[in-house]
Amino acid sequence: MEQSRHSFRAAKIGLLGCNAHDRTTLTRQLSRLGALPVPLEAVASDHLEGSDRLCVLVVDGEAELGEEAFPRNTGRHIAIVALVGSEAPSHLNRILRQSISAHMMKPVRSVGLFTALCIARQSFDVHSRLAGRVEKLEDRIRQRRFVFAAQLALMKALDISEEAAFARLRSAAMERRITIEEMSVELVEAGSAVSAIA
Amino acid sequence: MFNGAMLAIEQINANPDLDFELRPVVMDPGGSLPQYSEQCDVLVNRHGVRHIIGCYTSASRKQILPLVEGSGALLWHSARYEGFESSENVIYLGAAPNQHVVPLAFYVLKNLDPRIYCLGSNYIWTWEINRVMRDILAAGGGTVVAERLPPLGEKALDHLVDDIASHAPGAVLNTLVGESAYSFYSAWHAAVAERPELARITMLSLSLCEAELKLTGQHEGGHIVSSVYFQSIDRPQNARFLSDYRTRYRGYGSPSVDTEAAYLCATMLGRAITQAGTADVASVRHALYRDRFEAPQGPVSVDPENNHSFLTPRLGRSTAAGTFDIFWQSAKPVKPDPYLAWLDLEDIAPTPGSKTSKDPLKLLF
Repeated sequence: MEQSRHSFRAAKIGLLGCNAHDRTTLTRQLSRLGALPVPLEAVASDHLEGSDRLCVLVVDGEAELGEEAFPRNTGRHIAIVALVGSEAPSHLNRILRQSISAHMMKPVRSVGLFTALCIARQSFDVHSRLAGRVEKLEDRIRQRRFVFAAQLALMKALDISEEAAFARLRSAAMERRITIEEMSVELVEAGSAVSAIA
Repeated sequence: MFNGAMLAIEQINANPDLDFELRPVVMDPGGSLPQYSEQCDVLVNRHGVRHIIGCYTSASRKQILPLVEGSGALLWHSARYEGFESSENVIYLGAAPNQHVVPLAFYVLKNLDPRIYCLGSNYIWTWEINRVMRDILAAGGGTVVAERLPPLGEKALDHLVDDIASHAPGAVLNTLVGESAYSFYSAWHAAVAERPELARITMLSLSLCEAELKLTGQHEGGHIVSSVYFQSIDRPQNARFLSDYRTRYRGYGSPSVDTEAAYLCATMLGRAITQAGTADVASVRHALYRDRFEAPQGPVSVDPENNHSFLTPRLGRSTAAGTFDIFWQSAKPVKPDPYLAWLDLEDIAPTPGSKTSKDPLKLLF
């Protein structure tokens, strides 16, 4: 529902590396939104998955945080809002390496946090969905050569056309409730299974 | 708004018990956003003003906000607005969305055919009010049947009467403002006089006031308005406010919700300066948080959590005499929720199989 897209009530928002002023402003504004600010010294695995997973992590892009406090792949697991002070390219490069989903300029004001959180959550969700699709598609491409091999084997064994071989493959995959690619891998690996599908 | 603020300033300055005087520096941006910036700059940097009362639209407020925040001044904002803002340098004395649009939407769900036609001037106020209304209706089993957004200031709106009639909604949520509102209401009232069947379609508003009713032609009453202030509020503080206002402004003596809110701004500023013993912004803000003013509308205090105000939502029905009969009001001032973070739409969902739905107003206020 529309309401939930704009609600951060009870959402855990991590605060990492923020200075005292920004932390105070963020904490106050988060409580207005009904969100739960979680001050952090370091990002732990619990913050990335499970019941303690953060909805969004707000991290000061200027803070000196080592790999242990702020693992490089954090942005793949949760949405990150980076607090930006300097716009110098060298500095921005450091922030961009973290796969951030949104940013706010420092010093932080109350105005802007809600927007940053909405954009970060939306952007992260879209990015995650796309990444999942890309992964699936890449997997299918990798398995594509097995489809060709299986098709060829069927064409030879049954003396049928390319189209008919593909239709057999698809029909067998549907029967087993697996993808054509998975069916093809099984056939190629088994070799003699060509007669089974026939 | 200007009259309300000036009345309060004059009353403060006429009080012999106070050892300070409020000196207003009046600027009129004339509705021009660039002028808001320029004149705010003059107020803050040339005149050294620390407290500003004004800005009706959200666009004008957002125009001067960086300057107000950067200079550490305090803006006393009187207009009800769409919410989703909370600046440390603004005191919001107008209604937050949970204090005006939410009660109206809940009333619609329980008491009217909740198929709503949304008609409003094309700007942020209308967009956000319609969004909130749509979400609440959707959760409670209602729907928005059409949305029309003519440009701000558009006056050729007669054709919308037939458009509304063709959709046969249970009610029209009217967020037209200014001349657009007066033009449309006049056309609607004339149409209802000729086509009585239109009278079953209720007009809903968040801004219509007594003075505006007089600009919209003869009507038989029945418009539902959600507001924290009506002239018909029965309180001695309101009787005194109305008397003072009418004495001071005579021919212009019909205060609106905006008038009362601007009056609150200047009055509560004066009270906070009195308590703090200084006009310093931080001290005034601290004193303000401890104040509870028996205002014309009821007890008013500022919530330190978000700088918005505890106000008393009300629903009024317009009369043929150009007044409002208040038929519902919250039992006590309602905590402001500018981000609607605490609105539970699950509570108003229709119960499957049950013919008697819950009354959302009773659930939440």
